[in-house]
Amino acid sequence: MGESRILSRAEALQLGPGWSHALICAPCPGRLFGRVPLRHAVLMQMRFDGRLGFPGGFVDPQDGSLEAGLNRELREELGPGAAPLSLAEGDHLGARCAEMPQRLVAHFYAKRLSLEQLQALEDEATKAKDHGLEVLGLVRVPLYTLRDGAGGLPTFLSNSFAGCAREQLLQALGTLGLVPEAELRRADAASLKGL
Amino acid sequence: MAALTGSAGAAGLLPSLSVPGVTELKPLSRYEAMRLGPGWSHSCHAMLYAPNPGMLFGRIPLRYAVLMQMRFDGLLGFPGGFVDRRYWSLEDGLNRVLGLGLGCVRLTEADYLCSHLTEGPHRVVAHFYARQLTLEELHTIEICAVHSRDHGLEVMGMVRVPLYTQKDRMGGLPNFLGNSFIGTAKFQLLFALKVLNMVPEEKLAEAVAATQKQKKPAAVTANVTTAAVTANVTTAAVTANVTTAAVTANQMVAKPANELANQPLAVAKAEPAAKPATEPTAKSATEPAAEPMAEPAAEAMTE
Repeated sequence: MGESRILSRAEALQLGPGWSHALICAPCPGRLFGRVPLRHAVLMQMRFDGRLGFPGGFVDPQDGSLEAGLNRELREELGPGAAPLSLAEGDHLGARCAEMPQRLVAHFYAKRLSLEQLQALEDEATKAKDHGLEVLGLVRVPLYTLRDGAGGLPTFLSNSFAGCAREQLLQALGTLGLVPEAELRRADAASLKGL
Repeated sequence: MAALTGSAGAAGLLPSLSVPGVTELKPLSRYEAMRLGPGWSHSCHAMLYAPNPGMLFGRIPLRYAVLMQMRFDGLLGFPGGFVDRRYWSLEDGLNRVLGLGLGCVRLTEADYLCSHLTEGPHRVVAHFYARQLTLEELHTIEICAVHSRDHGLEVMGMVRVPLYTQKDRMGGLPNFLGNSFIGTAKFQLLFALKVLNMVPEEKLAEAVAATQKQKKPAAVTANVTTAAVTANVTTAAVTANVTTAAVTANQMVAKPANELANQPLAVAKAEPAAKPATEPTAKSATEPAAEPMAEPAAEAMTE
């Protein structure tokens, strides 16, 4: 999916069934090499198709609600450790709709945990049903930019992403205040130039 | 598994990757590599893998689980790092680095697979190891990795490599190869998959060809490597045998191994050459202290 307008939950629901994915993050006080502030731990995953994406998936009408479907998907992908996550309507960050080649509606959520809770989630995820199948591993997103202007977030953004995951990541990092907007724009630009 | 050895000067007998679109690295025999002079840095990395009888969606054979990792710099790579040969054998050095990260595996010379000269002006030889484990052992490593010292710092997470290609000809290995890799990692991955017969050669070639259409992966990784190199600060505390002699890759490759071994050490202390693209804020764009090369050393290696 390319660039698209961000819709509200209600607007997007009217467009039909779709996908729900979630960004899970936690404040992270550590420093890389004792010097580079980590700021936050933000989770993404390497998917079966070799692309990076967020946990989540297609929401069935049978799920009852977007959130119920999302929580179900999170349990499958992240294991029983995801049960306490209980994403709710209030965690909805925005939705996107792409029309070509077919209509795809993608809802995006974000939830902040404590670092301990996030670490427990990473730990449990290796034992999840989908581990080694739909999910090839969880990764944290480097939010810093190293002095070469490339290492860290810019390089991370140059990897292969599923659907609109890359846009969703940039949107969330900005909206949640995890990375200053100017830095996000620079990182985005640097990654597209082929560094 | 059998190491791919050859006698000194018999580099021509060593297998090559020969996949169109992937820059071929010059192979060395272990013997030649060990005779390189003190001006050379040695890096050791390992591919841990296990036969995997599972099927994705109940129909796509997984064949093997192969471990790689997402690094602090946003690149995919293998576990390992630089080995200071003044103090450690290759295997001891590698095990030290792996022990810090993974804790559970000890590699031996029997796991040695190959050595290659890296691209770029720095004299680095990359040694590669491959060890087959049971799926249970590999899974245990994934579980341990989350608790390792490096987790959330040098290593952002372990990932398995999809070896299959889905019907759309992109899903799986092709897309995976379209990610960004550190230095020699992508070459070493493809090389190991080929020589260990884990993926048929034509499938590897198809997967690489599919990604060429999407973007220029070679350009991306090469540029990132170069940027990281120019951003180097080589400190005395880090491996002192790392040189930044301005020897071009072509010059290095042209010389036979025994001449390289006798070459006088031309040491130039690296100056931080990188100019930040923009004025770094207090929070960001600080350079890692212990990053001597394109591939950063595991910090504790120099303890």
